[in-house]
Amino acid sequence: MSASQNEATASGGMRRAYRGIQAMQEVGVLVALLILCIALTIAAPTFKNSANLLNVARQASYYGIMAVGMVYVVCMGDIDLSVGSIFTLTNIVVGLALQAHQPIPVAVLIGLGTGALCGLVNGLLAVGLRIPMIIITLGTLSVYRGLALVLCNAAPISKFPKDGLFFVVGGGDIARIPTSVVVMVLTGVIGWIALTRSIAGRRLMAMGSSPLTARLSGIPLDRYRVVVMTINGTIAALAGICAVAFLQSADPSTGVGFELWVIASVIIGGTALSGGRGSVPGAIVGALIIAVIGNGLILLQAPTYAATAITGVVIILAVAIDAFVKRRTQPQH
Amino acid sequence: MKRIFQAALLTMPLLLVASCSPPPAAPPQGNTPPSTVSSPPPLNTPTDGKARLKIGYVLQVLNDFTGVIKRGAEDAGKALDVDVEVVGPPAPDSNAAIGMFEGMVQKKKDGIVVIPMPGAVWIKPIQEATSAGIPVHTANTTSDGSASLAWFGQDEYQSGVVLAEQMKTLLEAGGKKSGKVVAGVCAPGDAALEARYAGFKKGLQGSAFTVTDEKDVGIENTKNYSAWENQTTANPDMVAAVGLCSMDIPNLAKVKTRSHGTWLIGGYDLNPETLEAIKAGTAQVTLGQHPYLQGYLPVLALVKQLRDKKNPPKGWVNVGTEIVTKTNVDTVTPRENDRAVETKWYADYVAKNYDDLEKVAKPMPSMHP
Repeated sequence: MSASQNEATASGGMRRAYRGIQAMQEVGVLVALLILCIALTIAAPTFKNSANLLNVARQASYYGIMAVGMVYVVCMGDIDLSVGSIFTLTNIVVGLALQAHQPIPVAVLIGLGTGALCGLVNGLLAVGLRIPMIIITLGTLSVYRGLALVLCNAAPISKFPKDGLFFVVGGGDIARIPTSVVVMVLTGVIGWIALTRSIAGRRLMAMGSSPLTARLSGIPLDRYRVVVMTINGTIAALAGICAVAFLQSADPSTGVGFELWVIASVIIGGTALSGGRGSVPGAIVGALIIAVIGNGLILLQAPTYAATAITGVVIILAVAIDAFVKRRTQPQH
Repeated sequence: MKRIFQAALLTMPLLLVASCSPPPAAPPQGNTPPSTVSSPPPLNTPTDGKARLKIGYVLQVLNDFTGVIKRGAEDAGKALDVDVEVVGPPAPDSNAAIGMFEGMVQKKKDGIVVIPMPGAVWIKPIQEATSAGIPVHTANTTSDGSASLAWFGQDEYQSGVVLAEQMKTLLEAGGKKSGKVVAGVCAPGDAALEARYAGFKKGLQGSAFTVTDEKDVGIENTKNYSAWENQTTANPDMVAAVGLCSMDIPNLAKVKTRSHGTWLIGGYDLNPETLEAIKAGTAQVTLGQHPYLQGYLPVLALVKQLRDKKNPPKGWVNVGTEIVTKTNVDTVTPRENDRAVETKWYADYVAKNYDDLEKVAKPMPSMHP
């Protein structure tokens, strides 16, 4: 092959790579995260330390895990406000099981089962009563949190052995990566493949895009809604279990307010609130952005009372950057 | 399948109503012969004919700390043979708490205790209760300018000074002559926490130790851990970390262990994880504020006033600040971990120190001298 032919091949490859990046749904939010990280690295050099970056990833992992399930819910045109409470209830249930000297695999299964049951109840209530999911989960948000308070008498649970693999590895790291981050990535990969490469995933997007068309096409909407809510509850429970492993205690205050940050992660990541379009990797990047903001404000010694307002402003900026990049790189419909 | 499910959901309320007992039969009237079955006496009527006192207690939130207050109040009820109803919202929500307080007034409780957070919004509800003839005490935090009779709590400002003195002593004993102390608050703006921080800052004044401005570390457990983790990254030169809320010491201890930190830890409250951290030496000092007494004593005061016709205490009943370090943690732990030990310990403590509440009461301390 001649030199000019080699050059043509190389530049053709670069053009294909560039077009591939342009086509990525997540390009905007990735650019936003990158800009944030670069800015923080300049303003607070401690930010780029590997220990700090791993801490930030772990801090994002609870939202990130839960965001994977929420992408599915939002894609099909719904919202689940009870995920924070499912996280709390699972946290408490697992703590109680461990305190009752249940083997760790049993305690974990009980936790996952609790989350699945909560999700199933959400789905069945919405489908059976024909009430929007957001309303049902607004109610179950209080039910599940109240149940957690009743079960633990509003007190943290920490009197159980903490030397098992569950805490050492589950609450530690795998190849120096915090285990909850590994769980987030694995959940994300599975979630992404299922959403984008399976018939069920495509049907979910169709449901959110046009429920009438989806129904007329023969997609059993009610069954999908129940299944997705059950999966979402299970994933929220998984995050709650990771929290027990890491914090080595179960606390009824855990998970309060999580639903808003999980939904924010999903929206920042490019999932359409109206349904029909979603990105699991984008949602995880959205969770990372939220954690980076929290970490950055502390590293920059931002005034305490202003920190909450600054967080909101930075989130709006991140979404604006995402929208700007998308407009520039992707064809408009 | 769907219709069966819907039918089941709609039938459930009907089944519930049907399973309730029927109302008691109306008393016989006119020439109707009297029933041969006498109606049962009202519940909780002592044989001496006096009605059982009903005390209401409204917490600002339900958590592990207020759970101890609740235990104290309920133990007082049992010991004094009165009905004590303790309620509180599941998350900090003054509107919900005021609603519960007003419910207690509507239920015509004989006396009410409330944790008024924030104090300013409780002036009117407390006034309305006292105008209805219901005496009100406050606990844990106060509502300045309200019509409540007495406040049962610790001097928050002074507790901050005490904590600062303890930290200074511990730092100097560890060879530190100067350095930065990071202070974290879980709810910025809360009056009690602001008073603690002001006292802590005052306590370190004049020393070579400096304290940062209050860092918002949040109430939610994972956020609190993450915030402290980030603070230790942002302040690698800190010599100590002080948390003003109950969840701080357990999370600080975990951060310190994982990061192999050598900084000291101080804070508040005596929950089991905190005491374990003190015993292990990971944390150095914690201050207890006897939440059990914050539950017990105002109920006792109301009963003495309403039933025994004693003068109520007015002003401030100091429940005391308890300093716990490694040297005395073993004496405190059994009481904090065993319900029966707790009840017995406090019964003796109250009998010894709070026999005459009116005499023990002092003028209100200043929150921000």
